Amino acid sequence: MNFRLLKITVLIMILTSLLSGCAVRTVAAARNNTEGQAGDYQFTDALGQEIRVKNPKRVVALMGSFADTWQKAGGELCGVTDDALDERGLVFPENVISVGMYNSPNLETIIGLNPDLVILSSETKEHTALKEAFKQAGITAAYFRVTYFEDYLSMLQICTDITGREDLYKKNGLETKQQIEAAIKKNIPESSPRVLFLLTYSGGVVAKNSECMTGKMLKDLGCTNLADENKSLLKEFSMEAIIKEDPDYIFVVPMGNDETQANKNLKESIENNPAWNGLKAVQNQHYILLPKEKFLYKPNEKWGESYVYLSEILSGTR
Amino acid sequence: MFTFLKFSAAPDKKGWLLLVISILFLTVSVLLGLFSGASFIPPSVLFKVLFSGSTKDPVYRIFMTVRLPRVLGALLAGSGLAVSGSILQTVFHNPLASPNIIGVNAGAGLFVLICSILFPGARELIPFAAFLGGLLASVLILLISMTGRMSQLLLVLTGFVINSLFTAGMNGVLILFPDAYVGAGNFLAGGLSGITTAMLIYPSFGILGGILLSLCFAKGLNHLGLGTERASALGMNVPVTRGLAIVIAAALAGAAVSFAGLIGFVGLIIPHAVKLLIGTDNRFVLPGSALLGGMFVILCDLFARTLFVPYELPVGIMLSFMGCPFFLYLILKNRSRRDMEC
Repeated sequence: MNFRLLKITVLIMILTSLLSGCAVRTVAAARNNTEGQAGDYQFTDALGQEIRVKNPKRVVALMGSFADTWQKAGGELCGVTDDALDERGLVFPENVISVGMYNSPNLETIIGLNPDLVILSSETKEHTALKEAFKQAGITAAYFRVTYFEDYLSMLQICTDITGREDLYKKNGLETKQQIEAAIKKNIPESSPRVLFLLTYSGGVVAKNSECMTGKMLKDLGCTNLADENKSLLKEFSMEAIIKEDPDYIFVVPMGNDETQANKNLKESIENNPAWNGLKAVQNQHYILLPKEKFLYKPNEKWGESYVYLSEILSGTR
Repeated sequence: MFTFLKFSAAPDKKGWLLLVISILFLTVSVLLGLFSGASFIPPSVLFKVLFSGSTKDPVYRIFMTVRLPRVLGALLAGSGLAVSGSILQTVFHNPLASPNIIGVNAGAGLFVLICSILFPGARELIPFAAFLGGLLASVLILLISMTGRMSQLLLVLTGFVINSLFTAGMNGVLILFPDAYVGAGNFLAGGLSGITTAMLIYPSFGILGGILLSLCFAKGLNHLGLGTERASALGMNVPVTRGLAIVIAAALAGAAVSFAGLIGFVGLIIPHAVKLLIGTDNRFVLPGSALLGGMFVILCDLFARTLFVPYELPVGIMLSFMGCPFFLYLILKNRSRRDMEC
């Protein structure tokens, strides 16, 4: 009896994890392209909510990259989070105010702005936690999930459909897409370079696979990510595994505000290891620190530049 | 040794007076919580908008969707945890016992996380899961404490171990299921950001029901506080009373954790403050804890959301800053008393 109960519990847990795993890869936001009466626009957001907006003028974006996308779609903002100013360095009119940090937005300040649309991330727990509160307040809250360029393009299309600026979709979306396609086409390697992609932060170093933004770019450019093959690298940074795999390229992006500390940590945790200098990537000077503006923050309309940057490194022209 | 329960010489009159004063203070703190926030809204404007019933007005939305739920949430969480702490201190005959110290909060938290993974979207199950987790931790501690004579510090250390076990469980769950979503705000630190009145419906039954039941048990708890032998001599069924008291304490703490996360130290600080003011008679300590616990969390949350506008701190961090030194003070006080007795 107890074993049966245990089996049912395990089955439920497996099914739940499978379902949640599938959910992660659902489309960021579907565009229904339903333009109803008098400029109404309807779409399905990343949480599966039917969102209906009508020419929103007071918009709050709770993530810097989303604020940038909305602006690039020709929209105006009345509230943004600090990362839009600090990390992306976006410039806004004086009447645009800060509503706190992206991971702890101030609900009262947002509601006080009387917005007709709030743009949030479905991947940020602190944002999904506000779903019910916005619903109760009668404020339209649209969730997006942007990891890859395709997600950005999809979001830009929805935003430009709302603002009615198809020209900006072409300029900031389709032109970037062409740039990416050209970079990929140009960089068809004879053999797939084996790469290791690392993120460093003040507390340590972590390897990332092809499911992150830069990992996807490397995969598109024909690289083989070691963390795709050796899953244990994702859980624990193992110098032994890296020596064994001996990658052709090692790419590093510093995370967080304290870049100096991140670099110091990188030096102490891996570069000081005597085996480090014996790695093929280090000996061939293929150990490369990537700029976080292009490879940590969402580059949006400059996504193409990020592809070109990597493509030049891989082809040896940079 | 601590002389934990010595009936105050203060007559009932003093207790009633302090309860009335507590009600007044609580009323003031509720009003402060409702009228203050990240946005400055003059009371005249607030009243005008509320009475006009214009639901589209941002002032109305701020009041109804941010301030009112937060004040209600803080009141319920503070009252529940403070009363739970008072009960646990009496049951374990230990002034250092409180829901977060002996692992009741952590047990409730672990079960809440598991419930949110197994039954995503079933919000009505969360308070029940929290109750079960809190109860499991309480029963574990009770069983361990009954295995033999245990000093107050040893009991706290045992609680610390159970707390660590459940906390490790929570961290493990969050590593395996990083998308596990629970309630609103910061669950591990304890916070009330993003809370809605709908989230409070089920927990409020647990907390209000728990407080009412505990008041019915107040006299029994007084006897229990005299020690097992004396309580038995007074004709009390000690195991049953103790078990019921534990169930109530777990329900109170679990209901609070289900929507506010792992708020700590209210259950430690408030019962002591109340005993200092009212004495040790649970007929007054329990309602006093409910009133002052609610007041305390409302004020802490008010500071947490207004000190660094537009940034806000989870209220649990604010409480930990105050609670940790107080806990250390109690341990040192306990040690110096023992030293004197030696």
